[in-house]
Amino acid sequence: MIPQTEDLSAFAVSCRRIRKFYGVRSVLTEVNLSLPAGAVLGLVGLNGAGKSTLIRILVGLLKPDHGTTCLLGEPALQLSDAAKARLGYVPQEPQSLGWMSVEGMLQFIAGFYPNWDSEYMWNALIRWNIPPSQRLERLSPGERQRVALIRVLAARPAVLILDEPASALDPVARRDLLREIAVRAGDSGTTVLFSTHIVSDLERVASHVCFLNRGRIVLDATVDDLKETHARLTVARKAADQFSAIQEGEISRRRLRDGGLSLVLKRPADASWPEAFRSAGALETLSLEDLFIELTDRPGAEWFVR
Amino acid sequence: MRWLRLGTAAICGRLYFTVLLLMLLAWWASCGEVYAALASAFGRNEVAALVLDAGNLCFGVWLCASYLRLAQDLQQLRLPQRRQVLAGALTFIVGLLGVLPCTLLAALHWAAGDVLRVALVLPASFILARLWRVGLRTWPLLPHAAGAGAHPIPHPARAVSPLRALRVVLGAPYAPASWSVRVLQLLGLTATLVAPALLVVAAGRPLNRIVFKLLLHSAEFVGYFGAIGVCWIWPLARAVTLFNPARGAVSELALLPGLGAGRARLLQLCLVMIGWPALGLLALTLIALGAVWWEGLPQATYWRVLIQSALIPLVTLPLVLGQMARPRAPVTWSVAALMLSQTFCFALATWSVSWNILAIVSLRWLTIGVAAVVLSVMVGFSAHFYWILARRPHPFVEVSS
Amino acid sequence: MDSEQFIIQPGSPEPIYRQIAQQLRRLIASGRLAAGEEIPSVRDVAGRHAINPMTVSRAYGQLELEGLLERRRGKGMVVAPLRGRAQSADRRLQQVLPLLDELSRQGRELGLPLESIIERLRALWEMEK
Repeated sequence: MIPQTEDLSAFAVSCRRIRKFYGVRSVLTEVNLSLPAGAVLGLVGLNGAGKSTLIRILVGLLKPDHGTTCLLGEPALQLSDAAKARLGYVPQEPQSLGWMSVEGMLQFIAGFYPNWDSEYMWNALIRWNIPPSQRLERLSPGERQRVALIRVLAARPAVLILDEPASALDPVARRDLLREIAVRAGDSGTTVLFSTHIVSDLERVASHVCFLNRGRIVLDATVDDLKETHARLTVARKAADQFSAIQEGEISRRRLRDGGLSLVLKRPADASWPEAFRSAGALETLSLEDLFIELTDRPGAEWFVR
Repeated sequence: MRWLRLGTAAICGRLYFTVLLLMLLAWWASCGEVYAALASAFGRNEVAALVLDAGNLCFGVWLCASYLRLAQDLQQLRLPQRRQVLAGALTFIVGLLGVLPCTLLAALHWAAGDVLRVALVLPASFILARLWRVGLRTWPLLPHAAGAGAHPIPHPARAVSPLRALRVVLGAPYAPASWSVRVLQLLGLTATLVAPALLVVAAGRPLNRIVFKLLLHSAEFVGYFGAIGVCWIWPLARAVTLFNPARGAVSELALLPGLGAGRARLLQLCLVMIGWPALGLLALTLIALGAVWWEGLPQATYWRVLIQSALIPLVTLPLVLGQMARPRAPVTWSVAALMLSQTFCFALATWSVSWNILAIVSLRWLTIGVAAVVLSVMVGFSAHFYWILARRPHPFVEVSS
Repeated sequence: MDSEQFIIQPGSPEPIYRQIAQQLRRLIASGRLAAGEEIPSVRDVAGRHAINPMTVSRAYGQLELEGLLERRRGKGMVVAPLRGRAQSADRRLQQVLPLLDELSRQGRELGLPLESIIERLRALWEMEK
């Protein structure tokens, strides 16, 4: 979590203490996020966890009920033109400018961005098989999403914010997109934030990951650290009594059907796992997907927000 | 009976149907009055039957289109007993539009020809509804559909001025389009304006002179109103529904660089949204004044036309700004219907108020007072909503309640 | 060496940088990567496998610290010459420590005597030769 005194404008994308209500329903609660330049953040959450809402707040399209956001050093709701020229955003279902043709829309948008890369645009259109003179609203959802991605990528932004970019893409296009993100993050230090269900994409290309569950951030760490410092301990029923109290470093626990316990533990970066855990049961490191499933709110699970 | 109920509920399950049904019954009642009036005055009353046919036809086409859509939906859902449901719905339609009016007319001893014509409305509605649905399916496939060409901007990428950018993002009919498309749009507008009047002129020769004049003026009024709908109400309704977050167009407008910030953008947006429609409104007013002059109508008519034309923006702008300021933006046709109904009410008021009351001093001041209050309410609402919009960080921010 | 030769398993519990580092260590220790041979660039590997370049550079950085890789101006990363990276037996043993750990744990769980495991291991070792 970010310390309160740190200046938000030092980060490429950041928000502090965001709260958002739809009526009486709380969609986001005390969300803090900060992304340094060049990082690639993957936002994971169930449907309805508030990912799209959070992304829209970060970009300045939605006003939070409480809290501040900062994008490229400026408040997100009052972005200057210079900041907007360095920002690329793709909504979940791109639907704007549907009446224009692919080529027409891209030419129109190109006029706004000083860093437009026409060559990349044409290469991508050819590689992804998109007919340039077809009207946008007549394209399939997958093609529409691809066109929207080409639009933001050709503008060469410094910050790229994608809301479920791979949801309508086939595996080849998805791999292409990840490759593009990876290369841009490396070459030009582009900061990327994308939300996704597909956790394996995240493990490939993201440097930071953030789990969002029911409007709260449940986990926020770098991917490498996550895998090294988190583990799952499965305790048999006969040993479960020893673990009735909350253990040091415990994040969540779940009672198994046979009476045993499944605990998710976190250790400090430079320490090793205590021996008590090793001998009590099976201690295994988790993939990100398993970790996320363990940390998601399910009936019978208790979890602790750090 | 169960299938009848199910079929009826399937077609007309929503609240607005009750409203439309009431309107239909009111239409019938007014036709009856017209009939009675004409019968006692002139002894000829085909006009009443014509008017009744017109009302029934409109309602019938809508009802039959709903029925056809229901049939298509049920077939795609592969419901096991869809034939019964459809039969029930069909019975309802035939009863409402065929059996009921015909028995009413026969009981009131109308001429047999009239009853037959009313009965023929039902098959005519079915045919028209079928054509309407076919038209709806093929319209998006036409190259010049909705007035937008495939390449509105032929030049390679160049910097675009904010107003032009706004026009492009708002889409048709604001977006720049080729000359042929503009000519087509203009022709469409002209057709809407003059078609009813031409129809009356072509078909109304054998009628009585006074009745003919009455019909002609009503047709001109209808044409004028249709043209207002096409040139002012429809574009504004389309622009307002842009603010629907689900459509995603808001993000495009909000995040495009180079369009300025905050209040300036709101002003630009209003300018673009109202600019061309205002010119169209002006042109229509001039045409109406010209028509009044050509037909040599009394002077009061000029004033009525002017007042009505001034009322249109005054009445619709609070609605438009109110919808933009609200959290959830509505569907295009509901906004358009709202604006149309309000304008229609005020237009009727304008045309039915008799100038004679102004001769009486007390009533004159009362009328002026009422008019002033109504005016200030409308202007006040507009200002209030504009101020709400201006207070936002930028006009395209989504707000939730 | 070609970047295709790396095998990246994103779903595995082991972080990707560790996978890359481990594979490089094995290739170097087994001699399949000769001294002075060029390693594919960070951008190459990241682009081929669609992984974050920072992950790759972290793996390379770690091996550079261990003395297995060297940065050459104009050529990128190359395998360090033998005299600089004499891997003691201790160092090499450390690479198989996790396997031994796991083996001893499973052996204990199954209640196997140590001698039978050693015997089996010896037989396998002789066979491989």
